[in-house]
Amino acid sequence: MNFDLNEGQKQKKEDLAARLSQIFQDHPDLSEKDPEAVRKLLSLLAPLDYFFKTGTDPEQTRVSPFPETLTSVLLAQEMAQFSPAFCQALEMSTRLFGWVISRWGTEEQIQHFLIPIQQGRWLGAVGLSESLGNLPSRDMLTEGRKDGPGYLVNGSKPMVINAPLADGLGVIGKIDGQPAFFLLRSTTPGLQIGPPLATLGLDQVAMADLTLSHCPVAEEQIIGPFPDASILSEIQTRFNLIITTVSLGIMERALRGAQKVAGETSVNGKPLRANQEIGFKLAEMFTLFQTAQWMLYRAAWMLEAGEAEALTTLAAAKVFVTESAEEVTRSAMQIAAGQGFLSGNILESSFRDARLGPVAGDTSEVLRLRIAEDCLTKYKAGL
Amino acid sequence: MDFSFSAEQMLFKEQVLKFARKEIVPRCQDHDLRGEFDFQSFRKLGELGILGLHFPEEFGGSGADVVTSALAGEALGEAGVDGGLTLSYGAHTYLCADTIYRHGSDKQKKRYLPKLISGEWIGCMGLTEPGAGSDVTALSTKAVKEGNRYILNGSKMFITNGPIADVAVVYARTFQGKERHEGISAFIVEKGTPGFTPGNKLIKMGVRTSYTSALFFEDCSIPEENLLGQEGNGFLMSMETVEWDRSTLIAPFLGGMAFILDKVCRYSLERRQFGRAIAYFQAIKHKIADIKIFYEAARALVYRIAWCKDQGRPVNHLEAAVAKLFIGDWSLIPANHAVMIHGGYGYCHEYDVERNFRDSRLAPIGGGTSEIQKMIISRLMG
Repeated sequence: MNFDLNEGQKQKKEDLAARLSQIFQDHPDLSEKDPEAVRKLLSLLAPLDYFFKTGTDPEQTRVSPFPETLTSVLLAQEMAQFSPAFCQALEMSTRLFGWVISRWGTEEQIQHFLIPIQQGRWLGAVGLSESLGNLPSRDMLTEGRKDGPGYLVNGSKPMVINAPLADGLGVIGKIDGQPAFFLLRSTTPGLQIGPPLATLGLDQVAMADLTLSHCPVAEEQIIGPFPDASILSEIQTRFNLIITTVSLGIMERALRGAQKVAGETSVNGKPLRANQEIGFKLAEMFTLFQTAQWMLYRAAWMLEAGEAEALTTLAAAKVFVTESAEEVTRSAMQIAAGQGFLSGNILESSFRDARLGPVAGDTSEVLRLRIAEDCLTKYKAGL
Repeated sequence: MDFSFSAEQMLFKEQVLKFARKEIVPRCQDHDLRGEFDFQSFRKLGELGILGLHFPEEFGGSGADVVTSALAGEALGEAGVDGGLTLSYGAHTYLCADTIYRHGSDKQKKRYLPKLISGEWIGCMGLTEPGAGSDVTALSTKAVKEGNRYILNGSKMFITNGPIADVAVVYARTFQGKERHEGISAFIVEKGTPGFTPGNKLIKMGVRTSYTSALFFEDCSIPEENLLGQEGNGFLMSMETVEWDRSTLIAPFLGGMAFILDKVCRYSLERRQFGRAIAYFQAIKHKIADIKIFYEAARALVYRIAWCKDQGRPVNHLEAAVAKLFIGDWSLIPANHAVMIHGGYGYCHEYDVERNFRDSRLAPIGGGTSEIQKMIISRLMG
């Protein structure tokens, strides 16, 4: 048992924080609602150890390994404090799209789709859910059918994060009833990327619906088909992990913001936080944040260690962290009172941003059912 | 980071679970109903070594680390041992014996620790007063040096194990310093010392098998060698001690969540309504899930402090306050859910969830209320 970060993790966090401070100081325009800002940030971060263990060589032609799951969470949490929206966009690109290719892709797929991601030249997106349900399941309608040497893919994917900006897209579908992952360029004929969707929060995240109409996909651009559905749950798990981590970052951002307001605002000659009502609210927020943080770290560690209970613990963490993020951001806005309600304030945006967590990926309701079923199954099995 | 337990620790936890389920749990319901301390089970905890896990072998302990000690506490809760017995064990081991171990002289350790660790003697700690709860600096019990003796006058309140304690660690003011926290000292007072009288057992909502009472000191004369540590160091000692209250002592509450999770799974699979087991209704599943979620959320908090103590970081006020606040306030939700899932049966004593509900109510009160934890957190969080 060890609750300390190792030296490598500490160094990576410090390096990233320093680099991000510098980037946001040098490029104040990154905070604007510029759809291209995420691409700019991607290129600025590419030389850093954020996405991969190495990757400073632009001529590099071999992909380097991903950081361990827990390290990824630590770095993404750091990133999310600066910008939850950018964090989500970059995480979906690298640690979802990139991860799938790294995990199951062929050497050729790595060369064509992953190396550009690693070098910060491409942004990736993954189409998971369908209108029939929020889960990638065998019931999905997106399907590839054999057509000569390749396949024609038909289907649709709503609300795909990064879709309007993506250079490479991964679409979950099926071939002969078995799950498959189709790798597409944004220019693929028949691939329609809808207009950016207006959302409640995470303003800088570009999201759109995808429609695939007789999209030609070469056999070399298909990962799978897989004999079972485990790939679907693995991808969904990664998706949930990203959403949970972003929520943790949102929570931390709101907490720090509220602490600042409570420390700097003076009421009747004393700091706002000197009032017990405010001090106690901050204490509750801090407690939720700390609890959420350790819960997520533990879940990430369990995932990495291959612990039997990892998926249930991560499901529990997603529910707790994302719902706590809502509670903390609501309290943060309350502490700032009217100022917190003004647009352009991070407490206001955090409040809106946090709303995504419990609805993105597996919703809290779906996860609660899954957690309970796991408990009941284990009870029946005498475990 | 590494959140794993060693194979030995897991094996030990299993042993405690089996022991508690076989030897202690069958007696809990009856003792709780009658509000009686279970001396037999307490002594069995001593025989198994639970009462002295983290103490050196020379005093009869096992030399275990604090994480292992927390695992024992969790195992007792998970087995279904009532909150009264685990509270008595915690107060005895951590608040009394551990204070003697950390601050006592060799002579004091040799005299008290073996008997406390074996369970032959029962210990308590007298800190809280009628007018001084979590505000230790307000305590008014006085100890005046007269020759080679101290004369204690004052009273203590809400003392776990008070009526049955053979040994009490008592905090009293020996002088008035410039600061309020100065001048507090700790003493060992033995049962039967003239002028030392425990009050009557208080009737409580929960943890009923643990006896709680006032302690009265009326010209209670004790030899100067009963001073624990240095005179005037009592405040720091008490701060170190109450951290156990906010860490290892809450491990049984963690285990208690696992216990009621097991109970609600069983009941919801057995209980049928509208033609099917209630476990298959979404509203019930959501409650079951919440119990599991809060249990998982609390785990790392408890073991983080235990681990910090093992690393030689004895003072972790912020971390301890966070753990205490979370487990104190949020453990009430699982306890309430468990009663609701059991419906009318959950309101009846026959079902353990009723006892768990009452016992859980102490978590946000004992060892520093949730409000005190919020004060600490808001001051230390930066």
